[in-house]
Amino acid sequence: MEVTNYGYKKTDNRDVIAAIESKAAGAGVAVKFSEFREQIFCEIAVADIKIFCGLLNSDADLSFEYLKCLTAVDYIDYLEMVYCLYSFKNNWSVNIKVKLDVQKPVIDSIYSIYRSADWNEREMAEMFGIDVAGHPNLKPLLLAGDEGGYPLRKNFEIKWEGKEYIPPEKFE
Amino acid sequence: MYEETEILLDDFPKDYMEVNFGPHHPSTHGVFRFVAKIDGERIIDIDPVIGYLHRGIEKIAENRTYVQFKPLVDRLDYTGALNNELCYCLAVEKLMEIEAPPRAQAIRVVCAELNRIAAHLIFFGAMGLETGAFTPLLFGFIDRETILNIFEVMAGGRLTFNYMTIGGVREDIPPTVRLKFDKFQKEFAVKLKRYEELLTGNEIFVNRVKNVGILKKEDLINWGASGPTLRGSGVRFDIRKVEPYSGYEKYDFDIPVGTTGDVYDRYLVRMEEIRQSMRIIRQALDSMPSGDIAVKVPRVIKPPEGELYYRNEGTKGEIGFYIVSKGEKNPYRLKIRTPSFSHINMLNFAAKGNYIADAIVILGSFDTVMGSCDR
Repeated sequence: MEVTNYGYKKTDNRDVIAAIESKAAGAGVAVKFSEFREQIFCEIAVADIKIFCGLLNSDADLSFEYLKCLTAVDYIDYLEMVYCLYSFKNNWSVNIKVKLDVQKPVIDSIYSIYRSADWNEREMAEMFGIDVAGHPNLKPLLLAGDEGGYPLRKNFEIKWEGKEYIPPEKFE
Repeated sequence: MYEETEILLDDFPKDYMEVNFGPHHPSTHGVFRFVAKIDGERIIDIDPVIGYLHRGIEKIAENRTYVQFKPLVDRLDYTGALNNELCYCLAVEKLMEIEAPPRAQAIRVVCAELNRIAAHLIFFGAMGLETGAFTPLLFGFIDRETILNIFEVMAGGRLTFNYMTIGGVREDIPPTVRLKFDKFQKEFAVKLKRYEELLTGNEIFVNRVKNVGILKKEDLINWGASGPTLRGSGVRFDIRKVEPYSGYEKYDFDIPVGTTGDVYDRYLVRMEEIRQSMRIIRQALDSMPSGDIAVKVPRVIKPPEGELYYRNEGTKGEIGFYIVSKGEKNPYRLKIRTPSFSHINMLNFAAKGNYIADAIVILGSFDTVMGSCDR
């Protein structure tokens, strides 16, 4: 029995990092790399996001054409946007992390590069209060608008109507 | 910079009509509404309104332990509940650096593929319904019932299972599963041919869906499409092949792809996937290893500090979990990437310029489930 995988091969993470590093240096973007569980994380500055995503998307050698996932995390001191990109051509994956100021989180929209960022950015705007500059249509997506805050922020108070709230540390 | 494929709307006059569609409509598979701007029968613009099924699952995850959250994963895409469970369990296992025993992996593959067939049978029925044929729905549900009966023997549930655990599966599969599947396979091979006669070779159906909603692969990739929708346009991409998980690299199966990228191709890809799933289940059941069905994990699961994105090939496309762990009992942040969210995001682009009736067929061809879109 012959099992085909249609020529998809795994590249060593060091080669991927080296390829991205050389291209980013050419565009003048400072990137901090880290690895966890065989996944690559690149940390860049807020101002560079559009240049960096545009570079990864349009560069013929890298061709990260696919935005797998876009999310944000609230670390109380700062917010973080995470972009997970994938390259069909090379079978490479990379996760980009950007730190945002918690008081005034502003980031450039990547809608012009990845259309799939459209609703994801709208969701992050309403769930975290992140101002996505340059997004064509930033109205609320999932919520009714009467939450009185940003639900996925850590300081958002959950209303438990008539039920006693059991904190997770009491669960066994 | 991405440039959309141009859709010629210059012929349309400036005055148009706004029509509300939904929230209750059989083709929306849940509660979904869109406001369509139409000129006569043509759609100029669609504004989808989602959120009717938003349950805040991502926020609930932050207040639950990893095990407590698992039943909620079933409720995302309830037609392919075991695929969601598989992805979540694998993501947490990857965080904890544990691997399920070979027998558990094979059982998981059987579950996931059976559920894929069940989900595609719903698609088959719904696709018929959207094009004006009622019989496929009934036929699809009869065979789905047989699969649900197999699930009932395995997991005790029919729609939401909570069958997989972090580190394996909850219970071993009883020997009757194999007998039931043998019987199902024998009958289904004949039935599938009859179904194909009903829709695939039906002239009315073919005229209705052929060359409708043609999407180019460059556009689909940029809009984040995945699964059979992406494969229908000719991209030979399947996460089961690209990033094999749960022992998929051991099984011999093909990835069907379309050529033109219309609704008919997306339909054909799904019908062929049913056959390929049958092949995988056959191989998995025949080469089922013996041994444990789960590894020992701590009673309270505390993955080490770190974060990762893990994805699987779900029934409708790429399911992904982005989990941030702080080394505590509950996830610090859990983001769920669902295929339906991306596909409905794409609806305006895909349906623009088509007739209203075709827009419904195009929406149906994405096979979206609102529970997984709204989360």
